[in-house]
Amino acid sequence: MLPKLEYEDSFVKVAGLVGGEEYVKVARALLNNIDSTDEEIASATGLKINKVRRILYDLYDKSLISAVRVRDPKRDWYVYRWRVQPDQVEVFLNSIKQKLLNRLKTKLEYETSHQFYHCGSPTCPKRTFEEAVDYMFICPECGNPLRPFDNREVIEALNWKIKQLEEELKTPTKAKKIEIRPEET
Amino acid sequence: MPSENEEDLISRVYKLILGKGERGILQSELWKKLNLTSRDGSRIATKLERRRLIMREKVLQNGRWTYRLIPLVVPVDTSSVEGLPCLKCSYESRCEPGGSISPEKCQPLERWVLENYRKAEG
Repeated sequence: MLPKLEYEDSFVKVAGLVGGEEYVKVARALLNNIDSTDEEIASATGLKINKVRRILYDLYDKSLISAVRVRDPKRDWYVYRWRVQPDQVEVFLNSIKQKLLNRLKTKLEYETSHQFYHCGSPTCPKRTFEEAVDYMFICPECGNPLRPFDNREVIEALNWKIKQLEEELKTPTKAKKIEIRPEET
Repeated sequence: MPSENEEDLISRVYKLILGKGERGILQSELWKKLNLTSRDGSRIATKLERRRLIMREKVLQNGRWTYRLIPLVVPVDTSSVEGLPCLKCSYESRCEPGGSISPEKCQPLERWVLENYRKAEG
């Protein structure tokens, strides 16, 4: 289970969002030891080296961390040292929100422009009127009759989430830096 | 690597420091509140400082040197996208309007929005 991350570093919170508990472990290890190698992270977290590498490559693909290739003088081969890119955390989070907003708007358009039918089984998808006609109003997955489905709550929920994301994107997510006034230091 | 319990404690300490606003809190005061020894407390404060979440300012208090722990950053709020299925979806890169994988017909996305909405509406 993912630990509570309300009061955590922004990078750890975002890593947790992306991959859950194992990502949180790697993220914390990266913050505690700047410029660690994959082996150092594996020993600090207790995770297997191949898992650590998979997580590091994923975070690297998302530009949340950077890597520097250095020669290991003891073994005379190259190793990567990984470092958190704190500035990218907010960029990444805002891009997730923007992408989600676009998807929800597409879904809202679809929900408001179709009539739906459903069999009542939570695992079966709802069908548009056109699809229901094609299936002769019998669910192709469970065989139960397809009945009109009221999607008003779905539309309300989509409108609510879209509004929330639009508000948040007006003032893009930023880890608030606290200014220390000179007289207080 | 700190244990999960220590991470919880680090999180609690950070929350308390943030709660004190820009002036922060005296280290000794904080350890009393949390019933921590000064050795354990200092270790946690050093970790928070290394993560650049707080700064430690040396101050003289009642004739003794101590540290004031001052918050530097309030972490980003991720609550609006927590649990979003797209973040762990293996088809995410192929998801596009009108495609075979699309947001219109995505059941996990619909369930997630509905759950969030119901929770917010109480």
